[in-house]
Amino acid sequence: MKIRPFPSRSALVFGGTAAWGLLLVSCVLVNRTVLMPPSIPGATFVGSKDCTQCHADITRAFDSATHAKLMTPGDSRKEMGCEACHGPGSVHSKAGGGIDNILNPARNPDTCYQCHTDKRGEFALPHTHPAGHVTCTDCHDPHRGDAILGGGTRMAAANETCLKCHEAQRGPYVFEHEALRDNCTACHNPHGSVNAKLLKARNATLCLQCHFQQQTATGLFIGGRDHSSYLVQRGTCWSAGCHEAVHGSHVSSSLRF
Amino acid sequence: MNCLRLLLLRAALLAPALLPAQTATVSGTLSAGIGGALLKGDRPAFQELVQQRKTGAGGIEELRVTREAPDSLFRFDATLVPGDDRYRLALRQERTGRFYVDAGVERFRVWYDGSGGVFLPLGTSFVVFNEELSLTRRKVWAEVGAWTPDQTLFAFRWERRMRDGTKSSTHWGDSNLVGTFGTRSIVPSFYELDEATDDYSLTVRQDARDDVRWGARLRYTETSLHNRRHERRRPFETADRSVTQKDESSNDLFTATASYERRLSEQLTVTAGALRTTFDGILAGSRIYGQTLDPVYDPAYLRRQQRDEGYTGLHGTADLRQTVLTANAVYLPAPHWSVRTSLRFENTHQATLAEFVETNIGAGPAFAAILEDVEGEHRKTWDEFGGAVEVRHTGRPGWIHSAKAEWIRGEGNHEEQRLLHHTGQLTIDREMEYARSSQRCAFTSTWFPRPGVTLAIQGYYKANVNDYDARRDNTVSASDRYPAFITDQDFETYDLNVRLTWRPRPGLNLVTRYDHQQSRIRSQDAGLEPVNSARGRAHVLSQSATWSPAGRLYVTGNLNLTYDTLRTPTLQFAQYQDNNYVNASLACGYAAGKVDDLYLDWSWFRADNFIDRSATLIPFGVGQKTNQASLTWMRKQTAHLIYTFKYGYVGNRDETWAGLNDFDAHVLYARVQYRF
Repeated sequence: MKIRPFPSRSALVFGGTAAWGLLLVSCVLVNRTVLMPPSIPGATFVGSKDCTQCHADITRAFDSATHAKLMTPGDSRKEMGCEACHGPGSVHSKAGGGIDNILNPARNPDTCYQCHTDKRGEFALPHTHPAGHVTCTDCHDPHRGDAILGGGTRMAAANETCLKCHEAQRGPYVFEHEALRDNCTACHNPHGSVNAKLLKARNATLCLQCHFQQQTATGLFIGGRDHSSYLVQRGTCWSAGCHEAVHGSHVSSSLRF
Repeated sequence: MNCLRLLLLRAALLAPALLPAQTATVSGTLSAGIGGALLKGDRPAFQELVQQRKTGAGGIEELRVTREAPDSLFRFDATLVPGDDRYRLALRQERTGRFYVDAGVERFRVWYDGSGGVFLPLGTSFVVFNEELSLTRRKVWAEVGAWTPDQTLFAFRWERRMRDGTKSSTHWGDSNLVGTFGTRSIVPSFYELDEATDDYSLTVRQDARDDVRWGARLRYTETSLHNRRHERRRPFETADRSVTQKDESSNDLFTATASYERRLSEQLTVTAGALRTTFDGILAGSRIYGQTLDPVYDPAYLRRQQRDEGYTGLHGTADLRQTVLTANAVYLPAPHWSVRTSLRFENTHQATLAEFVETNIGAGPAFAAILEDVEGEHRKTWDEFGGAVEVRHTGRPGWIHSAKAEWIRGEGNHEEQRLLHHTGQLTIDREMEYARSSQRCAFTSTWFPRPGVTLAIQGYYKANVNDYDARRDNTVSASDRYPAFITDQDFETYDLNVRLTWRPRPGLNLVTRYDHQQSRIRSQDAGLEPVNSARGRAHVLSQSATWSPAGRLYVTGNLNLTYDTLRTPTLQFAQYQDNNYVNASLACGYAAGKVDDLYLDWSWFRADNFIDRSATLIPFGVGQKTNQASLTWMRKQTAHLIYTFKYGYVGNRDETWAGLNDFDAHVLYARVQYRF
């Protein structure tokens, strides 16, 4: 079957005419509201105090959260509390709870994207974590403490966030790659990348950030050895037969495999 | 028989929802959908980008039943889409303040494109295995919890996570079939994974009281790996051979955590926490060259080449002991002021031992196998101490200011040895002492001048300083000099972002955000001058607009412009890495009739970083354009019944792969949803 690429000129003309006609007709005949996601029909802001009545376990700790920096005192700012992310809560509050009358950003990242517009762009890249299966709250806690889990003075190490799904990279190895001590994000961008495997760079530049040492007229020396021909031919340092054990090795100090 | 079992199981699961109760409400959704694609072009690339099987899928996308009563909650949640390998069955029964039961099983698939590289001057590329790769992730869990009369929660959870299947790899193999250009690594390779993790945890928590909260958790995790990476080197040449690397490791991880929080006064709350981790791993694996996929080791395999290095019979142990202590305090010295301090101490001991037979091939024409018994050993101790102070002020109407300073200092000792058993020679024998200092300063200011307008500014500076001191090192002139070769390595990052949320008129919301990040890595190696080994710079401008001129119409648009560069002083040997891109999206919803809604979605991505220097390098740098558009018609037949029909187009143009990953797809989808 032969498939024409979109949009062909005739498709545009036909589709545009049909859409314009539909618009004109419905403008006259229809007076109805279409809901813009994420939104809750008929709901208004009630303020975070209402939320504490049933969700005290969450609201009490929220003051420590990164997102608490958005909350100012005063009634006029009430939409900046819980409802900034969960949507206006009047319907939910009046019904005494429910899951269809309140937004759950854990299921839909659109709420997070409202402020983190740059992350919307990153998650729209060709290489991201699988949409719909990994959401923002898998790696970030919006309700308590720093939104970024692990690292700094937090109990868990920074890499634990990644290792809970990527067990094979946990190590420890006989010969470590010190870069892991810094963080998985030394080489990967967890939100999305134009490069495969969420890599910050898809060629040898990724490694040369830390391993560039000497450039002479004849070559590029790494570890005291000229690597220029390898770099040219292989493109990456981790190509088959070179330094494949990028996360650490039990066998080779130079992380060959 | 299986159908009957399934029916009985569902009936049993749904039974609680039907229990009569005067004040209970039962609600739910049943959605069934079917869809597929007409595709022209590369199928693996389509499946990876869209994350759907090309041949289509259909089934129950959502079956959700919720029964809510004043003192109980029951939820049932199911998905059954066989074509897309997407299944879920989950239920939760909760009696408020008394107990809950939560259990389920779910499974989904992630698609990968197994393409290798393309050598542009000759259009050389290889397909050496089926490139439609996919990995299935599965999870099974069961959790029970009960509250005592004083609202102390006791909970036990078991979770089993599995992933198996095939996944693409960027460890490309080499080929000499590139004319006079020599050798290029463009041959695809892939992973075959089979991993399973069992996780058991017991939690005790008391957070009902206002003045004291505490919790403790014991967690035991068992992981087993049966992973393989398959590579092919020099296919369709006289040196054609396969390499399979296996990781058959397993480990037990035990963690115990406890935390205690006490409000000493209205102004002061303190928290203390502790973590103890023990990790016991058993190592096993091999890397074997041969003529076929997953070969058995044969010292005289055909087509062997000099320096075909590998190992067999790897066995060993990996142990880790870690203790972490934390202490935090929140002090409210005056109205609208809060000060948060935190301290952290970590002590880690790590020891790993591996024994294996190292395999190699000598020079031609004999190409004799060389076998050596080797032992590798590693011991590491590490102490780290860190602290942070954050001050927040909310006293000025409409303003919030906060500033945070964090510093960490770590010191450790690291020993590595590599012993050749038959000669007793220590080919690696070194001991390093190292220190790491980290500082981070951050500030946030948020201003709400009037309802609907927010201006937020955030920034941070972060510096990591790493010093390595090789006390003993016998690899000074050998090739295995890392990690002792590095003596200093410093990282610096400046980051700033500004966000303006603005509602200029009713129905119109605008969000503008600008992010800037600048980073630098400075490295010094033994006997060499320090160099600025990398410099990164990123500017991201993003804009979103939401416009609802009338109740029947809304339009939202998003635009991201990203300029992201990474520079090293090695342009001659590795082309610059730019990750610049633009993406934009537009969504529009329109009430076309009394029961009909139309939705139009469009998104576009363009990266133009491709530089063809293939005469001297492998072509990298992404030159790609994707276009996705869809038109959805949703008909609300009744208050309970909704029909959805969708037509979508997805197009991909990939310059880096010389068009081999291009495709045009027309996607059709229909769904019926019943709400009750």
